[in-house]
Amino acid sequence: MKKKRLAALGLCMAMCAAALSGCGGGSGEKTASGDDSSKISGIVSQPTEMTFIYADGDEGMKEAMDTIVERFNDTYADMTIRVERGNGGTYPEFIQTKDSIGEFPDMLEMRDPAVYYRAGKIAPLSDDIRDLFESVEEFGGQAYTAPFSGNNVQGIIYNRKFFQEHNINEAPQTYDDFIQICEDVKAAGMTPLCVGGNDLWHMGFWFNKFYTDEVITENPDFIADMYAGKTKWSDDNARAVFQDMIDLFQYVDTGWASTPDAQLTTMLISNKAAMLFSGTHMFSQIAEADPDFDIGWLPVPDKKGNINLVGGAVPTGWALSAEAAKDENKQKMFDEWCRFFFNDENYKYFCEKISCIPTLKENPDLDVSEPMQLALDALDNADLKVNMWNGQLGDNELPPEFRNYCYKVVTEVIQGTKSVDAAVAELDKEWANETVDFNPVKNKES
Amino acid sequence: MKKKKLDWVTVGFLSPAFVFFVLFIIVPAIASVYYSFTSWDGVSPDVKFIGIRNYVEIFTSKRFYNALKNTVILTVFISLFENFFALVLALLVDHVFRLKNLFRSIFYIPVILSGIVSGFIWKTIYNYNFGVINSILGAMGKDGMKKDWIGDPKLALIMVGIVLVWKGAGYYMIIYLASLQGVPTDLIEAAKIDGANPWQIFRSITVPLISGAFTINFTLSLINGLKVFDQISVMTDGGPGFATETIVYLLYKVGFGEGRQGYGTAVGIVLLFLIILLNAVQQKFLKSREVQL
Repeated sequence: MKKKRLAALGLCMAMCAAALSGCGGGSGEKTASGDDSSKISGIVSQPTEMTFIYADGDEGMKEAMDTIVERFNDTYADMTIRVERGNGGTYPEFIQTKDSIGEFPDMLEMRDPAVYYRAGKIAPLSDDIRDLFESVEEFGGQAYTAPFSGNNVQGIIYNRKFFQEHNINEAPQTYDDFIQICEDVKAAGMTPLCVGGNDLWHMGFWFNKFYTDEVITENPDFIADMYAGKTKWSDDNARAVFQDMIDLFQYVDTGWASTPDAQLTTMLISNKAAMLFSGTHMFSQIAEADPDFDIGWLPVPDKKGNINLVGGAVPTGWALSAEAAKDENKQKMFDEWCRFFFNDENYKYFCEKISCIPTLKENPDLDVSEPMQLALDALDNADLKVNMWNGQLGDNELPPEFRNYCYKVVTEVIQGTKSVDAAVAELDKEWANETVDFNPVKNKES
Repeated sequence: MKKKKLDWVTVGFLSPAFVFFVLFIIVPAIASVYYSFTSWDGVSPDVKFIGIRNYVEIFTSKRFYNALKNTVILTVFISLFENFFALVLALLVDHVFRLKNLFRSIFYIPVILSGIVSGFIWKTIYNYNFGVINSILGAMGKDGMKKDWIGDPKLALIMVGIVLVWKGAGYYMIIYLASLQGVPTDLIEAAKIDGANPWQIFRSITVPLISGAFTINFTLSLINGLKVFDQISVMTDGGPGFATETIVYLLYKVGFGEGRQGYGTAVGIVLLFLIILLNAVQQKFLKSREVQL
């Protein structure tokens, strides 16, 4: 009995000690950073700490951000960034949940600036920060996000060694040529394409490609016209997008619907598929997974032979919360973070690490890989450069929930559980539902 | 009649819990009813009252009925199979003389895994290209039997159901086991002397005497089935398409993912009434079959 009491007492003391050490941990970390004398101070009037949330899309992004934040914390004596990562796939939900429980961060990677601008949750960029960038997306005449990457150029990332071994060397001049490449790969015994359909957003790569080719080339204001009631998803050009998806997916790996985006690198390097349609961010992931993998890159032309690529300014970027902006020190610290992040050394490291398109007026000289250079050259020479269909703003901004709904319907069409007719009719109905409250065109008129 | 005095000590002890319960359960629940009549997006400070429009949309939406159908299929599947396997495991463990605790612990292990972890484990197992099941089939030369287990809309819901049964059966086993151990041995011995075979003993003595456990377990599995979230979120994200979207998942996706808190809250209110209704029906059915010693 006595032993039990002693054991219980010991346990209680251990728990109390653990709890107390937990309480003291915060201040311990700050002083553990070493000698502060060489650090920069005086930008803020008192020690300032800011919470920072970004989407940890992949290992490259995680590593790059961890490194730059650590450099920032090591550079300044009186400014500290506390990072919390959000899951890349469910990032908008994560931010919304944080907001709903009163933990909206001081600064964050903002992916839906239109929504948060309308809600008054984010603050405009300072003029000198805005002036850093080649172009920024504006709301009400002001920019709210510091774009750290230009639109991710999308194209076919392929196994160049396999292509060479099977004499598939001709770059496609038309979409039919590309389909012939798929046939050739199939005939050579490999699955032509892999798709990460388990992550719904991944469906956007191919959908956006066909939407651009079939719809945007004919009517750049298709969405605005949808709001005005002039166009429908059941129009011929929009219907064609769904048929293109069905036709293409006969070349896609059988398990695409349960394959997560994160597995596509493995699919490529383990010869489960020869090609992948995605953004340039995949280059660094593939190189990291298998440094010997010979990465090829090519754009997919449309049926007329034109190259239409995703490009231009993006609304996504670093943003400061409106609440934090009320604190002069936090505003100064955010501005300093932007200057620090976009300085030559850090931004060069970031762009090279995640293979992104730089956004500054004066970009650092990047050491880019061969496929990245191909993508950059293709972007320079593209017949059409356009934002992702769900990244448009103003009259062409999608209702917030429409993208995911559409991708789910597309999935059903590809899997044959819904006909194209039923799908476009359903999308027209869903559009009508979702635009009762959200209609930038009608709101502007009224 | 003597008037009872207010026990201030009791009130003092109860009040902290009561305050928290009211603040974090009752107030949000009442607020939810209000928000279900709005078009609030969950972010904007503007909350627009739109009457019963959310409810009209719910009851005219194919997506809701699809989610309802999925929820019913999943709930029925896991209620039946969780309880079936739980009872089988409980009977096995009850009849084991050695290492009883070991078996009980082994069968209980899946219960202590979080829904997220179990979802990730099974997502890996089900994976088309690298998963264990298809790898074994491939090694056996049965490539034709390989399936995209959670990518095929005809299979995905049942595959999620299997994970839920695997994870939940151990919990219900413990309740059945406790109940089985309360069945008087003299009744069973008397039945044996009367010449009853094991099936007759099980059907006529064991089942009626553990019917209280049936009521508890079916009620719990019904409620758990109606609010499945973790595994769907991790394994399928409600897909492919809408194939595994349940009402709770629909509520989450429209409320948080698609910025329609008002509509999502209305779905939540409908779900609340659905749970109350189904639970009442089930209680009435199962309670009438309970036997008291």
